[in-house]
Amino acid sequence: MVKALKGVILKCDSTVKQVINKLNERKQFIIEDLDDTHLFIDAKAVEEVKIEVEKLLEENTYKSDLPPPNEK
Amino acid sequence: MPENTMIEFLEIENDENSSKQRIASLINKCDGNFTMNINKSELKTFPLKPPENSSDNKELVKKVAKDINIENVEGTERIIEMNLGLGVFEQIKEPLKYDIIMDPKGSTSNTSTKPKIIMVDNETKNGAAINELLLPPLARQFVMSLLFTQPINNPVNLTKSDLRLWVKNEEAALAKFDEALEKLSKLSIMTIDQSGYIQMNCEFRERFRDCLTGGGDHQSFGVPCKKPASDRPDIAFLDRHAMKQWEEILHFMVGTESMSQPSAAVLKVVTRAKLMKEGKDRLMITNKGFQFLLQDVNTQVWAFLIQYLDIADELLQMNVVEVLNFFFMLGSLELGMDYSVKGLTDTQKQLLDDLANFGLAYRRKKGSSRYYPTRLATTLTSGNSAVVSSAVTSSASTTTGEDGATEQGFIIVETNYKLYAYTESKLQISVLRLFCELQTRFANMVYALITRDSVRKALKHGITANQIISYLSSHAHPQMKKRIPLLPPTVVDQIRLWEIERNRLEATEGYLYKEFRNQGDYEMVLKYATNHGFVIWSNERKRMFSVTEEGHEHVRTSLINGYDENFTKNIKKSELKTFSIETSRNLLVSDNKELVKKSCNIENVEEPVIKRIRTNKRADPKGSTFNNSTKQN
Repeated sequence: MVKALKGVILKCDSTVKQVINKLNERKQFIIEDLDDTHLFIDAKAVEEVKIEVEKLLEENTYKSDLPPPNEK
Repeated sequence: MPENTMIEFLEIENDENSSKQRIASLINKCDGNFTMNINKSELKTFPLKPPENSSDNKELVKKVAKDINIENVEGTERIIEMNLGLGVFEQIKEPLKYDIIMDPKGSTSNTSTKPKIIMVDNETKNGAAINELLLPPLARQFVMSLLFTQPINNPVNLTKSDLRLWVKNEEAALAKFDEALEKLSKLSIMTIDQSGYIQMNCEFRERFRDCLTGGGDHQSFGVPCKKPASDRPDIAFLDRHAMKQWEEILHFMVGTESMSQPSAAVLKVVTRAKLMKEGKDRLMITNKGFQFLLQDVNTQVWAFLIQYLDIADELLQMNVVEVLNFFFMLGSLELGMDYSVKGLTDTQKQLLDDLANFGLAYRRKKGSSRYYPTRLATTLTSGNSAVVSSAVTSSASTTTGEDGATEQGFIIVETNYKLYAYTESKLQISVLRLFCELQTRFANMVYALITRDSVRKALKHGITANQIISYLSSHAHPQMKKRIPLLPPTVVDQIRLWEIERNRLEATEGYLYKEFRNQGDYEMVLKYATNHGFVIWSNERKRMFSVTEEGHEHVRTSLINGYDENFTKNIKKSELKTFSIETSRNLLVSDNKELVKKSCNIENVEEPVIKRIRTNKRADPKGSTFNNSTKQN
């Protein structure tokens, strides 16, 4: 029989999906792994996931600490 | 009152200012009996007389239409409009809460009582404004023509056909005529009684005449002071005051430091209009607020006032009608003149304080008996917003010493994300600060960097990449404008990428359908959902798909319910049956029936089940559809 589940469909690139999978190890919220770019998760976890992903990606962004080059 | 003055008075003039002055001087000359004088003299002086009775009209009809030269009647083109300059109101797209007052269509639903209330509340005081706003040109023409041709207490009997003679005998013109009359009667300006006579509402007529002639004790165009104050502020001062106050609001919005907190009314308006929202410790500008900053001053003022109207009722406990009246009145005042607060209601006095805060009016001190409208106010109702804003900005630029470049554009962006802004305006610098890292400030320019962090900060406030880009391109320096493309593509792309980067996750609330019994069911439901545009994601191999929350309701009501009622029971009961089909695929329906009869252990196998099986066996190439089988059931 058909089942209808309520939740949130997350569309993301595969990198972010890996990050989310990692997060899921700590706290189970993924209901269904749909495909490479889609996940079906618990609606309650969405905000938290967004913040966590943002944080993780931010940590892994390269930023130049050098002062801007002087005017020529 | 000498009669020649009256004739002069009723002429339609080209120059608005001179006519205003003339009216003002007339008002000063006359005493309280002014309106009465008009009443007595108007019939004699008004040159155009409407056809008095139908016999005259019949004679007119006999003549060749082209020979009759009645002015101003050929459609709309030749109508002389009395432009009170309120056209700008029509440009405002945002529907007002007070549509009921403004919109003739709105009043129709309220039958007969509502329009009359409006007449008394509003139009009586501000007939000119409302009239101008609502009516089609032809209707305006009727009102203007009939206004002074009939004595108030002894109206001439006019019929619809009398009026019809004023328009060309063409289909298009007649359609307009009907429309005009309909609008007029809906607004209760004209009433058509049982005997077919058209009457203009007496109250309306009287007030409107007062309005136009400046008589009576109403104050649609403000109450000018009898004599100007000895030290009255000049126009340049008023402009400075207006810009200072208005920019203060804008400064507050962009978050310039060292700015004093604006008044409570301003705070309420900006939060209510969602131009700003609560930040960590102070209000932060929003996406809408940034859009607001990009608009010209006139649009900003209007947007602001509309929001003010919105909160006036519930937050400030003001009478909306009075507020609206005051706005209209303010729009018709003259720059540089003294106006008296005498005759203003308490609400309007309170309002005046707020408007002085916004820079729309100036008062020497709180409780002063005089006030001066500024350019921001007097241009409120001018449709010519471009001229206005440039006038205001140019006056502002002279005061702050900016050069003309500010108007044309002052920003140069280089491919290395460096930005040079040739401006001294604190406001512009503050706007830049929203999405740039300011590096150095020089006497006439600012040097800034567009960085990932600065753009992300702006994005977090809800400012979009497109808004930043359009701001940069609309304020680009003339030197930049010679280049094609205008902005360096690297910078534009990067700003967009930074935005996309923030949105790597896209979350949509919805429902996931899974565990479909067979491919046919899956395809059928999916097809239904796809056709209605509910599907977010689907995968055939997994036999799963997800729909939006809204879509779920539709799918459930129209299909799943049907599925349950018609099939679930049957399918469950027929599971055994299905097995038997698989073993003996070649069984005919008749055989099935025999089987049913023979096998007593299979209970309740009814006709629909067999039919269902038959449908499946037909092997519809598109997949057996639910609907077919339902019909057969």
